[in-house]
Amino acid sequence: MAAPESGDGNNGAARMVTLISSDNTRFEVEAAAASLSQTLQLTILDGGGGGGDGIPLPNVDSATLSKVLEYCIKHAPAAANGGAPNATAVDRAELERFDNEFVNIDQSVLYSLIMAAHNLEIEGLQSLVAKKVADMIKGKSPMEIRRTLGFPDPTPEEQAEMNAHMLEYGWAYE
Amino acid sequence: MTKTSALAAVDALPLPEDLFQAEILVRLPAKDHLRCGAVCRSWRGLTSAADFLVAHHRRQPSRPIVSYDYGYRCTTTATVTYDNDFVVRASCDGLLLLFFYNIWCFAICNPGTRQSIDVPVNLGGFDVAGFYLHSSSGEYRILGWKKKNYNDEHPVCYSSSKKPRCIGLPSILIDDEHSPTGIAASFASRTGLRPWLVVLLALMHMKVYIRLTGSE
Repeated sequence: MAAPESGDGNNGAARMVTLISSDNTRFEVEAAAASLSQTLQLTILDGGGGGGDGIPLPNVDSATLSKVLEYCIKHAPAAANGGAPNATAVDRAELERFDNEFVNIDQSVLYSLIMAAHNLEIEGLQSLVAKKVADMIKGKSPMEIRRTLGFPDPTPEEQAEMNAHMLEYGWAYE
Repeated sequence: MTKTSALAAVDALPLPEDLFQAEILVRLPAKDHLRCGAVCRSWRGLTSAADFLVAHHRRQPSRPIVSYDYGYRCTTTATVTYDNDFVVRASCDGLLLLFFYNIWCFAICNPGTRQSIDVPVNLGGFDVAGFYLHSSSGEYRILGWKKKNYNDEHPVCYSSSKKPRCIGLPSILIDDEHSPTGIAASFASRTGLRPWLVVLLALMHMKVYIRLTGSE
């Protein structure tokens, strides 16, 4: 099905869509930004989300959704250009700076974002946030990883297993 | 938006297990991946499951693993060194099938985790036709063939788990050296030594199953 109007935001008044978070907050964004979500893209192409309708997102709360949309709005222009070809080095550097700052947030928010990005299938956001969490794990000892992720302290039995594993794969701890 | 139902979280994991695995653990380099195996029991299972290992492997950057001296001799992969010269006969999902031509035996090497295990069955005289993941059983298998005698080429290949099936000409050689009991004995003497990489043998003389499992 064809889009009802040229909705990619390149000709004057961009088409807007409304997204509704789990706690019933309405967010109005450009269709091009919301279309970074593979999940929403089809609905939007079908002409959904406009006017008073709105697209309900029962799995995403308003705090998370606003963060997600912040990402989408920033990345939409580059995505519309098909990524790199038209982007200048300055644009790319600016996006990179934005990304770095964007993930400089509490762990709990990171996790909410991973869930949301996964559900909404926003590939760039998924890898951005997952990479951040992976970076939190990298280079740490098993005990440090547990602490970082807020696991309870290991039982003596678990500790013994941990030690045995570390002994077996000694090179990984050098 | 389908996967949020799978909220069967691992103990204290801040995300659903499958999501944590699919999104985060696969992005870790091999060293950190191994360390994660020590974090807790559920992670140990998570990080050593065969499908995870394949997904993890596919995300790893490409880099040289093996280079040959004089075009033939080689004793070291990127991370594992051997006493004997070998050639690489096949690879699959990041695992290398090595043939040590001086001592006439095979080993399977995982350069990512620096693990290596001898193939505990004499495959001498067989040519390797393939090394692959048999998807329905989840086993890694070696497919080989052998000349019946020097003047007479008879490809003999097997697939299928319980009853080995001859794909080529129906000429199977079974002698003492390659008998099922000999293989079984060899198998039993070795499996206790290597947790994580467990080799399961087929009934027939030339087939070897490798299963990547948790620490058993």
